[in-house]
Amino acid sequence: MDNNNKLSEELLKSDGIDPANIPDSEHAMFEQLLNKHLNSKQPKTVIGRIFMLSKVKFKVAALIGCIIIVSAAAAITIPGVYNTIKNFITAIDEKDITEIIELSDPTSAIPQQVDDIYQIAAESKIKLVSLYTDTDDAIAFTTEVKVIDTVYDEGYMQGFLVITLVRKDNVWLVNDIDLENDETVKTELERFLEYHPNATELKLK
Amino acid sequence: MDPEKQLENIVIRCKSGQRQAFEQLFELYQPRLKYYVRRLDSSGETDDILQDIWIKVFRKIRILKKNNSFPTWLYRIARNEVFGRLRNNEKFIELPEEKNLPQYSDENHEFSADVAKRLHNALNKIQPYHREVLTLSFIEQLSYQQIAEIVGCSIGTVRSRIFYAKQSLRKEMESNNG
Repeated sequence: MDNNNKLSEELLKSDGIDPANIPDSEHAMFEQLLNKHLNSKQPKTVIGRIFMLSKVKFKVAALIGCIIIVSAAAAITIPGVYNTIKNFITAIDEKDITEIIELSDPTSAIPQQVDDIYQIAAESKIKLVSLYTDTDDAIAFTTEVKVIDTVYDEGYMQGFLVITLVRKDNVWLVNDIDLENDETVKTELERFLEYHPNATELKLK
Repeated sequence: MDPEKQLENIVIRCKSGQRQAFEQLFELYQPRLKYYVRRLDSSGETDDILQDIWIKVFRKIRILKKNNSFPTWLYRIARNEVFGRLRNNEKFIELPEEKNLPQYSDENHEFSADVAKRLHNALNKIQPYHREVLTLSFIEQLSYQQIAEIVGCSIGTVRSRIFYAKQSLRKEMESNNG
């Protein structure tokens, strides 16, 4: 073993980590996550996936009853979340960094992602495709964008923006933005709905 | 097969959704990733953070363009994940870039378990932004360029940060020696 590997190994051991033997509990955690990932069904297009999930949600909602939907919808500050996401997307389009920061949760990683956000480009204006929200959390999906790869200078990456929002002191703020491909968008939505089972899809203006 | 080619091969198989490849990746990186996250995280939520990192790896590995850049990509995900949770608790402060660094030579130490233990203890006492670059340098032997990509700063900043980090580390180790 060379000197660097030996140092790395000994440092890990000093921290109680056995580099050659991962504990069973960590293996079990990983297997569980991997099973969940590999077993998730993946329809073909992003719009199709969101639509399919919408249909499922519609059926469930029908069973629960309209009253619950109405009361849940009333609890959501629809104009607030809609305005924030709409203004945020416009700010990305217009490269308005000040506005991006202003609409972001200051405790999130967004202020550190400004350089990446600046590289987002689209063939035409970026549009909001879908928005799901419960009382304090929301997730939005946009049309396809390109992100210029400045790190490896390999042209660009293509995908859909997945933007999550959080309501703090009655103000909706963006707290994460990611580029997802047409296969991972569904996983993001499923995960959000799993954690927020009362979330509803907002009808976009 | 050389380790880099082997890693590229694993990443390619992960992209096609092969379970065994993901498991190999986990075996290769979990211990060092855990060490890195523990050095950055003060919330004691290392296990949760590691889970979220792996979920992101599953979901995003398909859009990783350069298969051989996996380590840089992985540590960048890890860093973003920790920072996303750090909130206001512990901010990393950008250091001014030093233009004229004194010549620094890396002595070629023999690392015994005892030296590594003292190094580990000293590492935990220095500034977080120093600890981070040294951890990446020690446990992954990443280049300045790779560390710059993970940390999101210039190579010059990494160079100066590592220089001062090593000075702090040396001071800590010397003071521990009495």
